[in-house]
Amino acid sequence: MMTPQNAMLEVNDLTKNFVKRLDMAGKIAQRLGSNIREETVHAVDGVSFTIEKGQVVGLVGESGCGKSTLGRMIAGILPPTAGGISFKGVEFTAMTQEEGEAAALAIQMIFQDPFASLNPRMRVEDIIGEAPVIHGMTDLKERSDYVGDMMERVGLGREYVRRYPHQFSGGQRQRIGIARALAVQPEFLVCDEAIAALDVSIQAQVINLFMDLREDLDLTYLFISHDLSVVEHISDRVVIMYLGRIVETAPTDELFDKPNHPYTTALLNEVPRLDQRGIEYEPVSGEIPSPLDPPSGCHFHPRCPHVTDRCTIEVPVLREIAPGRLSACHLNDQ
Amino acid sequence: MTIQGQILYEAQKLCRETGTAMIWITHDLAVVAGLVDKICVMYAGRIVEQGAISDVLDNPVHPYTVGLLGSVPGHNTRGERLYQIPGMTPSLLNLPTGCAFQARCPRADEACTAEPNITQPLANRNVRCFHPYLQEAAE
Ligand SMILES: Nc1ncnc2c1ncn2[C@@H]1O[C@H](COP(=O)(O)OP(=O)(O)OP(=O)(O)O)[C@@H](O)[C@H]1O
Ligand code: SF4
Ligand code: SF4
Ligand SMILES: [Mg+2]
Repeated sequence: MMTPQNAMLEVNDLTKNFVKRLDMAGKIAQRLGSNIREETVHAVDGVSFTIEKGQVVGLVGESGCGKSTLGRMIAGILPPTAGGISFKGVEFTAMTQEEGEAAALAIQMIFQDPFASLNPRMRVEDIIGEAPVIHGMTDLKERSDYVGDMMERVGLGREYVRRYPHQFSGGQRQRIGIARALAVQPEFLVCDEAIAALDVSIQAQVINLFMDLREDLDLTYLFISHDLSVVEHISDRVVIMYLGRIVETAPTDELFDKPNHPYTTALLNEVPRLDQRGIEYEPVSGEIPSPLDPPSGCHFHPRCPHVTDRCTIEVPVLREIAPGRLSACHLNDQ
Repeated sequence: MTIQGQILYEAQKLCRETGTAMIWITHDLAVVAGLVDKICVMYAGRIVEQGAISDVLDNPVHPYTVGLLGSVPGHNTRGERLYQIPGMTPSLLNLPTGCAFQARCPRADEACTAEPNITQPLANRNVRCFHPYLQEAAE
């Protein structure tokens, strides 16, 4: 794939398999002739894309398609099975220890559940201030001020530094999570369903905060969300995944105006919208395919209205169909 | 998304087949829009606006409903800051006297320090507010 000039992050043929090992009962059953075997989940299957500096890239796809797994590999907290990730032109595995540590700080992840990701026994001051002291961005003497600055940056009063997480609301806790990430001066944020657990009015505040931080701190984002209207609102580009593979990627406007891949079309049609009334919900046709045993050829073929014989055999390659637009569908060959 | 569609389908089917009424509690307004007939909007423990789904979504009159709908990405230009209701949800243990929304409400005045009762400023619409946005609704 072509590498843009100022690629901040490049993901190349990235793959993650999880092997579900047999437990004792399974092993015994196997000995006794049952066809139980170890199962492999292809959570992420040969994914490639680039994110340019300053871009917000939205990552979308239904539950279990591998979004979090991809995000965690990029954030460096889950080792890939195969393939590579480069940050600012240097492959993760080729980094010196120093470079690796710098990248680990530069790429921060923000999670969905603001409560589960904060230690309930730690004061906010310690939650936000621990890492920057370790990494020399501030020292013990200055720490309180430093944490206070971070809290103000995300719209929390600095007078709250001595409080514990349970003394904050859901939206405030998410801000603490964001302040903790910002405290190590990152360049790249992986946000995994970072606003999914929040109320509508608080979602608006946190989305605005992300947009302000992008401006003020020149941040780059991978924004994972199942909420297409949020992704449409804040992303420059959108990446659509289906069962571990990228099926389409395009600039946001183009993707929403004129989706290319039949899965993208189906996804956009399913999105609940405020101007819809009295919808007759339809059952999902066919079985929802499992990443344990994905369909052959194009993974989407059992659900695709345009399926042909070729689709059941040959995997469609993700390729450029127009400048800046890629899609993986055999229909584009005609 | 597919899973959500499946759940909504099952819920809807159950209502139809058994004549069951359903209350769907959520903060996802877009799902509500397509699913329900009537909507109750609650703020700080009380219903503040209630009516037919189309009436309320197309012409909200309670300042909280107006703010809530205004903050949804679909009602804002792409890439611009979203409308934000100012301030924070009050603690239920520490509500102001009078209307619970007054500290955040652009229409609040003296009158709002008294407790607003439910009125019917429009047909089939219950609203708990002294100054609902009726002009806008009439347009
Ligand atoms: N640690 C793990 N061990 C085994 N399987 C895993 C593990 N983590 C994820 N998986 C599997 O990998 C697949 C992808 O999971 P992942 O969490 O990345 O999906 P997702 O797209 O983030 O879904 P969601 O939208 O529900 O968060 C799923 O089938 C999941 O069950
Ligand atoms: S490759 Fe075939 S099955 Fe897959 S999306 Fe395209 S037309 Fe449908
Ligand atoms: S009663 Fe007053 S404060 Fe309460 S919502 Fe109405 S105008 Fe606003
Ligand atoms: Mg996930």
